[in-house]
Amino acid sequence: MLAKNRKITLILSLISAIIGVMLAIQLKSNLQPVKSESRSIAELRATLQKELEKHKSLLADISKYNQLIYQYETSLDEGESISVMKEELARTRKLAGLESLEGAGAVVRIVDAPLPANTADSALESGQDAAGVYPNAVIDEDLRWLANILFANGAKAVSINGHRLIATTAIRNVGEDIQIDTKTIKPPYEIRALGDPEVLISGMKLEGVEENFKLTGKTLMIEKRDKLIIPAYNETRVIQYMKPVKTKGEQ
Amino acid sequence: MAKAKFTLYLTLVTLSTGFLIATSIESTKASLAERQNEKQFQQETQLNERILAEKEQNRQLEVQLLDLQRQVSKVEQAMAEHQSEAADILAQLDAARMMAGVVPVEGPGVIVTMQDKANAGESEDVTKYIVHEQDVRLVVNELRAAGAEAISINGQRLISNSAIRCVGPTIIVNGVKSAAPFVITAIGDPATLVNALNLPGGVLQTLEGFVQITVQSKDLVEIPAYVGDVKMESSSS
Repeated sequence: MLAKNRKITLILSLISAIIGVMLAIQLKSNLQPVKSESRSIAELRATLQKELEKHKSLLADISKYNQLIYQYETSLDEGESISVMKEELARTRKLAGLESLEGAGAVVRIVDAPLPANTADSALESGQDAAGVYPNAVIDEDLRWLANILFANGAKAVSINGHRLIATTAIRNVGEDIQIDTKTIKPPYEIRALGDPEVLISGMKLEGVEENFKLTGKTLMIEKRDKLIIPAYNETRVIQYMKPVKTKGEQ
Repeated sequence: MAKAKFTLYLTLVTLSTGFLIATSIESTKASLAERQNEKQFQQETQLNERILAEKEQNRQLEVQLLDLQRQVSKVEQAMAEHQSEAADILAQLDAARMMAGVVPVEGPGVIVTMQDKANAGESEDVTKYIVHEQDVRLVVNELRAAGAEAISINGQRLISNSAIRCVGPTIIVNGVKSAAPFVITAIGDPATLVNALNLPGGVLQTLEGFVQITVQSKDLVEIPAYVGDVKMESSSS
């Protein structure tokens, strides 16, 4: 009887062990949830796309310079190579904002909202200048913000009250007024942007530009233009500190 | 007694069989999910490999571009030595290229580093203590007003139509995303630039309470060229 009892105990313990193992497996498989990695895949795709875009623009730049070298090399005489250089200068000046540009774009006028401000909707485009009713509430950051939105939506060039914004342009409050570089501008402000008008305008809508300016008692009058002229940068700048990196070691 | 034993064994065996079946079903499911994970993993690895390859290729292209620029400037230099007219044009061309941001430049300047306050997460108003795009624009604007000739943010050269955007903890300049800290490099008179930022009630004082910001003046900083399509061409008249 004792032996039999022991046998049962043995078998029982064996089976319990098996059940234990099974339970453990089951638990383990339940505790390891399937992780979702799709976010990181989307992120990786975006990174890859950026790299591909960079690749494309690098190739474009390289072919541009190759062409320039070819043009220099194939010019028959000095006069011709100088004209090649002049062309390159004109192209570069355009990039730097030193030439006026023409094309499709949008014009934004910031005018005082007609009185009383709360009943007037943005649909009311009367454009009357209720001067002096509101304090000059538009500040430099408002204009910087607006210009930044335009650039972010593909604006190729932007001017404010006829002053072109270039890579070094500062927009800042000086006393009561706003200065663009060294020029003081007065309201009403007119911002011109060259680019796809639809994209520019929907970009401004998306960012809530109109609502933001409404808070300062201004109405925006936004217009699409098929043809728009953005003036050249018209201040003289003397380059004192920067110089091209000439001796870049081989990488 | 024998019957009771038999029943007991049978019960146990049936029970364990049941468990076996359940586990095998479970493990098949798990392996299926694993296979899916495996597929995603493979996809990820593939993407990563492509990104790495693309980056390497881009690096080589950049070197090639720099080389070409050097060749071009050599040819132009040679022309300038022969003719005074070419020399005049070259001087203008060099200036225009630097202003357009299509060539790398170097010179004295400052490096401004901005990042979120270390304990931003603990404060009740988190948004108050992180770097916003307007903060970056404010610093950039002040540097410009103080006569900075070239500026880059995290290695992205600011050109005439650059936009500065923040999305979450990242900054996007020229469409290229990068993470904090935001390093703003500017070429100009270091003393003027530092003083402009340090003015009483100025940018540094305004921002210091909210974000971590440091200004270093440097004898020589380098600012890379803008790499991209010539966007003006299509719109020109």
